[in-house]
Amino acid sequence: MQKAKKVGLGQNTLKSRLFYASLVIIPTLQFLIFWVFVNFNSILLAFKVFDKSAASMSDFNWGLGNFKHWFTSASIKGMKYNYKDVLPALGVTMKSYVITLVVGLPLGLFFSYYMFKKMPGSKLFRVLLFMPSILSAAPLAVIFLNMTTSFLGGPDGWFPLLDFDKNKFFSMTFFGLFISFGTSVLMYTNKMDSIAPEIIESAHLDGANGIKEFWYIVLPQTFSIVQVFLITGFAGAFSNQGNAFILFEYSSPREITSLGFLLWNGIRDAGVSMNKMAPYAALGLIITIVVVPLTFLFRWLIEKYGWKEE
Amino acid sequence: MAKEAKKRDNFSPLTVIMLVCLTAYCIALIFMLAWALSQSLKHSHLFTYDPVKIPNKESFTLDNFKAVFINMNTNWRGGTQGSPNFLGLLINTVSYSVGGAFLNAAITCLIAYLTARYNYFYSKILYGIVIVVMVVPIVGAQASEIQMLRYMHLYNTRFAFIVLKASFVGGVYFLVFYAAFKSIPMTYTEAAMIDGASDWCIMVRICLPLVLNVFMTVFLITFIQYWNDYQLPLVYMPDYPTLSYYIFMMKMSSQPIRGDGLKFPINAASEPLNLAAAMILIAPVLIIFIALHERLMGNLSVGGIKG
Amino acid sequence: MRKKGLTRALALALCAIAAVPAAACSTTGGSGGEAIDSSRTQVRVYHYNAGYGDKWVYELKTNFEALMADRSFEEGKTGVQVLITGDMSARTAEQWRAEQYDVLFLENPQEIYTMVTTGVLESLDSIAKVANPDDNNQTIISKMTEQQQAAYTYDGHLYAFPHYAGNYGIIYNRDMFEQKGFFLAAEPDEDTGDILISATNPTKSVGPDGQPGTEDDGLPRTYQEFYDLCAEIDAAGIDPLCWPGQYQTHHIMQFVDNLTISNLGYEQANLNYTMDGTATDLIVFNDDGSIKFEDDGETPVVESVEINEENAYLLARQKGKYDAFKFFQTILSNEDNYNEQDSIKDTRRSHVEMQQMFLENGSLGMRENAMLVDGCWWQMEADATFERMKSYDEKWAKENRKFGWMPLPQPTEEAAEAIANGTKKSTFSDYLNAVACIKSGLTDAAREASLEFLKYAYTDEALANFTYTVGATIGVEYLDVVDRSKLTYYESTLIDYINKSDIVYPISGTKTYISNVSAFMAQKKYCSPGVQDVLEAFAPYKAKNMSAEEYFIGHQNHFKGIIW
Repeated sequence: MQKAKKVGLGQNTLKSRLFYASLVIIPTLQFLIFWVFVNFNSILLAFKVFDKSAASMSDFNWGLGNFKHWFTSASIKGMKYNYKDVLPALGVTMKSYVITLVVGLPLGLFFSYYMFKKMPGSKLFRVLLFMPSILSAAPLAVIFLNMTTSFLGGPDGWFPLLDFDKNKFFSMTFFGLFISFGTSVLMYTNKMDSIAPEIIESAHLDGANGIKEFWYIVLPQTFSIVQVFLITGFAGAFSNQGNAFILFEYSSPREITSLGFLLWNGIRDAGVSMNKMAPYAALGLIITIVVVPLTFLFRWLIEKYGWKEE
Repeated sequence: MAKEAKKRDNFSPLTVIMLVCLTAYCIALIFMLAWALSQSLKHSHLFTYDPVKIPNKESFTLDNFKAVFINMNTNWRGGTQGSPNFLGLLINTVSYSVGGAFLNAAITCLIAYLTARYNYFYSKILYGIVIVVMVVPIVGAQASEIQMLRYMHLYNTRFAFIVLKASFVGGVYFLVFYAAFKSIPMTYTEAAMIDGASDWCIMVRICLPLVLNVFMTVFLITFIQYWNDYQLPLVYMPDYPTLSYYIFMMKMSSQPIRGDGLKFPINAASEPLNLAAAMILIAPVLIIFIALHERLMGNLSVGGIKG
Repeated sequence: MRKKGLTRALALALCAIAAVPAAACSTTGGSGGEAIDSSRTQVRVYHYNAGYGDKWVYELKTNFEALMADRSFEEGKTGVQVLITGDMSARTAEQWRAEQYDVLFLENPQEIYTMVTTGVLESLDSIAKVANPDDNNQTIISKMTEQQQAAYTYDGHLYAFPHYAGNYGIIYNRDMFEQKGFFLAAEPDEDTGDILISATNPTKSVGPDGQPGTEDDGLPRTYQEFYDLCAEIDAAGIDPLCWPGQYQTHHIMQFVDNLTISNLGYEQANLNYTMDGTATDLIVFNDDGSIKFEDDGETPVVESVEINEENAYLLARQKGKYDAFKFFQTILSNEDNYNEQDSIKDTRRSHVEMQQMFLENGSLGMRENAMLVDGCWWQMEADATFERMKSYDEKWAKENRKFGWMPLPQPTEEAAEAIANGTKKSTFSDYLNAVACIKSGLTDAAREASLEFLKYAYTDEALANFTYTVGATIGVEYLDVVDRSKLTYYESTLIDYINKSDIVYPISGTKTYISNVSAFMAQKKYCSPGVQDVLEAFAPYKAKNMSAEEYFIGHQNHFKGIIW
């Protein structure tokens, strides 16, 4: 990847700058209004500690009580989640991300490689792998749940491991992986198709085939896209609830409650009570403060040690 | 080149394993969809006892599909604003999903282009914003969002989605565009610049065509996402319900749907009815997808850069 | 090629967008909404469209519009037009303020107190406290309990009326009970020792009300009798209890609430909301945290404690709660007592499906279910099934079938005796907490018309109509005027039970309650650490195998933890 430290050739002119400015101004305004301004309240909310017996939501003190809720037993009453839930949720989050990393990502890449090699059935596989993205997760979850509970999963089912009652994490992860390939495989194959034929040919002449070809030629050439999924996956792992809601609705068994689902379900649980919403605003802020630098570090590491395109 | 490669490449252990995995995957998926379709064609009261078997003469029915439309064409929401019928819902859905997806993809693409190709300080800020937003969980901002829309007189209007979706902070697609634009060598555009091409010309004539297939893919995926989205219409433009909003509302109800064409009343919460509704929602997208998948899924490749 | 693709895609997308405003003019594309009649005054009614459906509110509309046909609320207009909207989405007080509705029928409205204190609602004093000549000169407030009045009064003004009431309990298939003889005999059979009635031993026991010759004869009075009945039903090859697997937590935890309240009786139950008075039956713990029992090793030692808002968490020690947990442990720990497949294992089995299976007992070779745990309004949800079955044969019509609302059994013989001889009243817990209210800031005409609308809705006539339509009740006093002959068998057993019961409403004007409304809901309140609900604690399928004692001890910390 080209890493010009300087402003690009010919871009230092007033004309270029005007061109740039005229195009970024509207999206920037949209961002300022519908993200910064709108979320400002929620940042403030994190520091508002409400009097628990207050009927009015204007009765609050500024303080760190909402943050303490997540670290100490000095918790805010009536909350669905407290400090005891944070570590297990972090565990589920990491577990999910690692599985995506070591199972989902390689599978996606191998699938793409298969199609890139135009092996039998490639076109059909590509279409079908993309299908779940079209159908969207919610109806698929309904179908999947119905099938597992009625004949697929459970002790008497065809696949006893798939059991949304006994094997929650496995079943959820399985479902998540099952529907996850669409976008990534599409992006990978599109990118692989752009690999210059000469590179592949010369590799073949050097005797690289199969896994070698994949590892030394295809993967490095695809890595710019892989990197995108690695980074967004990492960042998203902390705030997305994944498929937890569509599969488990409001019940929140600990073995599937990731940080993202904890936040999502907690906020839903808080409903209209600001005093309960506030600790989630605080938790959201904590996650942000920890994860943003981590994401940038992660990105830096990938760029430094990952494959670089020729 | 593709043809040559095909001639040469034989199965390697890796590809054999993949063939097995992919075949299993596809069978599973087709089985799922076939199951859903077959059960949507079953009388709902019979599904209660047997959710597996393919409908036979006795249990086969089109009533579930009929009921979705019967309910749609009655006053299913009540009120003065009325409940749009199928045509009304379709218009709302298309306007939101096509309009919103195009807008969102276009803005994301534009900002990604500027960020990737212009090494200004502000580009770095924009990139940072995207990453930060992706990580920051939004807590309880809905109320302020509604307030802001009201202030702009856009709440519960047909165009409410425009200001909400004209955004580049959607996450992964920005980075996809960003990576695509970055992969175009700077020398390529610098050559054009030396030839006297303007910034606008470089963007529209040179760079955008190179990411066309990425754009189409992003547009398609976003379109499908919005097509299936009931939450935004529900919260921000409730008087312009979309098809998925309707199906969501139908599922929430426990009332029987009755009608002339129906053999029996069907409870709105019944599973075959909801599978039928899901089929109706899926069908148009599926048709578009099957018809256009070659083009949309990108046989046009970014690699054309050298051609 | 590439260029063509781009141009086409752009053209396509732009056309679609361009088509939107044109299409917008033609929408709402043949809507089914009622057009506004400018010659009448409009009342815009919102109702929460859940299990009770919307039939009742449309009937209210028809009757009220007819009643007001000649009345004018503003110059140049005669009559009222009621416009109805229903959905199931939650809104904050501020969102309600912004909505264009006049009259609101809400269910479980946690935001109601904020709405009252921040001026979203109109005072109802002018209709609540004035005798209505069209309603036998009654006031609406006279139909409300003191608890209800206190809960909805703020700064001396009343802001809401209680609306429909209900909770989860046991519905039994009386047709089956009669056919199979699932009634307890007055005395066990002398020869066989059989506790159920039979041809040779046909006299039913007196039932919970202690009176022979009444409809509840032969029904279980105590937990023990209930357990025995379940064993007999199971022995007959029928599943005694069932509930929908998809909503198992919700159904069962609501039932826990109703049973607990029934055990406690009105005064002790109400302490949970008033938080002011003497708790007479708090279980005492040993120093090691275990329950202290009397010498028999079974009966917990209890004490009396003065309760106020600061120490109301001690109410977790109420014996009625322990008894209820004990009941659920006994029932749930033996899977013979219930339909394990559809009620626990199959997490997709919906309430509507379960109702269907209950109504179609034994169809297609399925196991039969004798009793259903469901909301008292279940008939409304089961309408489609009733209608379909009726189309096969008139004898399956709702009016021709007998189901019964089962009086809740009491934990001990003494308690059952107290109910029978009238020293204790049966007690029913309303959980829906539904209210009717009017928004503030309306035009004079809309406000007057809306007040008239609610005034009409709370006349005996309109309240009784609600009961005829829905087969359930509104949480105010009017049941004596309900004509039982217009009800199904099931409905009359329900109305009889509620009518003779004290009703505990989950509402309170206390600060502790108002700032923790959701924590007082059954699904959160009756929990114990480490398990999600009593099902997880006790059902063998879930493999936690807790004891009621462990659950109760854990519940102490849980209850204190979520509120205090």
